[in-house]
Amino acid sequence: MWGWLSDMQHIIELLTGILALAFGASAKTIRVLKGKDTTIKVSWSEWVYNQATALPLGLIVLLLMPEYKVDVSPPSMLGVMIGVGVFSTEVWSFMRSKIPHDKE
Amino acid sequence: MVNRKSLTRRRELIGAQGVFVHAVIWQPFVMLFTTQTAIARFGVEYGFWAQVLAVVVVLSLLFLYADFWAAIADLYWGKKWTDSQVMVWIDAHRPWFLYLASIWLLMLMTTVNAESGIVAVLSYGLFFVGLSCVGLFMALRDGCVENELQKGGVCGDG
Repeated sequence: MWGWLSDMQHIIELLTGILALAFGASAKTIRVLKGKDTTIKVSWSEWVYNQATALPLGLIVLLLMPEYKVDVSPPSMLGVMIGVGVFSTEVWSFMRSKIPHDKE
Repeated sequence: MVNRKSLTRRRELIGAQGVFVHAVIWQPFVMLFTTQTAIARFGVEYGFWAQVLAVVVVLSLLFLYADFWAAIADLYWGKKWTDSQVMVWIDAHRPWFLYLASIWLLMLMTTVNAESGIVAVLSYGLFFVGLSCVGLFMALRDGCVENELQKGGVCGDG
């Protein structure tokens, strides 16, 4: 991995991936904050929680992707990581909604 | 249709959103009207999609621009433009327009490698990352204000 990171292009890809992950994981907060359901109250801690749930899956993809697709380009990385961020926060929120007393 | 934007909110729309729109809108226009820029920056495989995203971002920014002018008209000239149905629709979707503009800026950041020299790379990268983070923050802040008004939540609580 450190060999992979010695290239400037790869550092930009990693940076893009991390930023895109943060963006993807913010989408749910925006959706909930602007949603029609007035029973939901959201706060910045919810946003931080979403970031934390996206991080493990995002890091796995970030670290494995160059192994399988060496010539991954920054725009692809951007798209994939935004998708991972959105997907992971939605999946975690769906799973949490199934737990009684922890409905969002 | 009644738009419940507070005076503080209108000032934010005029200040932050106005500056943001003016800072960003020329970029998708350049990408749209100079195909060679799109190809030089994103290569032949992504150039077309960069232009497609540019169209979407231009539309989003024009909505935000209308929003900005409506806030000015209401605040200074006593108009009721923000109460109109189209402005209420824009108000409901404003975070997504800001979010799209932020993703656009993040996408431009990925072409930082086209610059030569560490100073150029750093300043180019930091400019686009910074501006996209401003857009994302504004999108979150916008929803937060709405949350305060409608749901009784407080921005930043918890």
